[in-house]
Amino acid sequence: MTGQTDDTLEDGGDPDDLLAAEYALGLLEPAEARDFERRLEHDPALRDRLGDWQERLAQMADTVEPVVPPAILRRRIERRIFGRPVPLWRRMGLGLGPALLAATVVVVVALAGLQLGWRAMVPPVAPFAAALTATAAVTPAPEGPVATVALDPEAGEITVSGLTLPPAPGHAHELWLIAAGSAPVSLGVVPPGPPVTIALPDALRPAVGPGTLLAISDEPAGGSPTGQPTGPVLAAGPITSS
Amino acid sequence: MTTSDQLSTYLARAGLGDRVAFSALYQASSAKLFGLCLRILKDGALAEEALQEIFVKIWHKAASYDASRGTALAWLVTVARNHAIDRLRQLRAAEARQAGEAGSEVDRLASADPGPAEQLARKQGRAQIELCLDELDSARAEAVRLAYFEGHDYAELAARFAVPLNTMRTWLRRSLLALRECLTR
Repeated sequence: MTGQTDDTLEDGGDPDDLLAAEYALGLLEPAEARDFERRLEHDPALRDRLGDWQERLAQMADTVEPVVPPAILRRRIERRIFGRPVPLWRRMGLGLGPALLAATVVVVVALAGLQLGWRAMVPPVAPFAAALTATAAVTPAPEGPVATVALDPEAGEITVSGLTLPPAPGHAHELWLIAAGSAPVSLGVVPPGPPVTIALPDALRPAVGPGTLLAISDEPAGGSPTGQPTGPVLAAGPITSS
Repeated sequence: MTTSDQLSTYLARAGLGDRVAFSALYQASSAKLFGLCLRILKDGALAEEALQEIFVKIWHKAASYDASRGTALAWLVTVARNHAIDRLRQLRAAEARQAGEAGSEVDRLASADPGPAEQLARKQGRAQIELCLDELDSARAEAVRLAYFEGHDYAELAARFAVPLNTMRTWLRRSLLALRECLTR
């Protein structure tokens, strides 16, 4: 182990703080680095120290002149991540067409039915709404929104309706609110089917408004065990004034 | 100019699979990260390859970003610096295996001398950390720069400055403490 030598103590340096700095710079021996990582898992104070050093050392990048990368790089990166887009007509031409088309029709019909049903039942009085559309994680891609959310910060209520994506067995769908500049905050697990109303925590009321995003992720039954999304995001959409 | 809040929002949304947010994040941060890759790898082709890997990592790791724990920019810079340093260390290790070839490519890559563009940049609009490094003895400031931009470990730094390893360790730790003190002033 490092950090216990006289020279550091004589400097008044906190051994853990120096260790965090050395880890951030990659100066620790592999065994020391592994020990440090093990401690990080259950030591929030150490994580904070590391975060502080990463923040300080990142300023080293301020001493470097920015250089705009060649434009082709961005296309290469997006192709690596998202794959090459396949035009619909080509997929249809491969013989998958009828199945895809049938599936799409089923989804659209189901969606239309649910939405009509909901509109008839619940008058849209909430001041904010969000239409969540499916992400690339959902195949085949459904047409139109896969859930509609009405938000009433005054009443502290959120109503989720028309959720058309059934969770896989042992899985659940969790709704998240992502305010500008903040990590996602869970609004709870939402079942598919009839509209459900969930309570909006008081602390989140100011975050409801344009610029905030809602998202639904796939999680283990009962919801995310970590307090942050752990599974793929299935649908997302911005909050708008209704 | 992208504000810190905007960058943080883009990163959080990219973590939820939002491609538009990822695109905005790339737009806002790629020049800074590419400059950093060039500084570390000192070669356009290597820096381009590194930047691709870095943004693929950013996309996959974005969900782990926690805005309460630090700024998005520091998170992005950390991912980029660590990837570029790992790459540089790989190149150095490969070079060490083929030891004996003098005046090699990697010696040039590993050169600590800042290029003319960077020297100029250092003279203009100096970053706060640069002012803090100036307060250190010049050899000590250089040791911090070498650790950050070249990824040298204590043994390599000790050899470079021709001092015993423990002396190097003490130097660098004192420099880091002085930097911390200066940056919080």
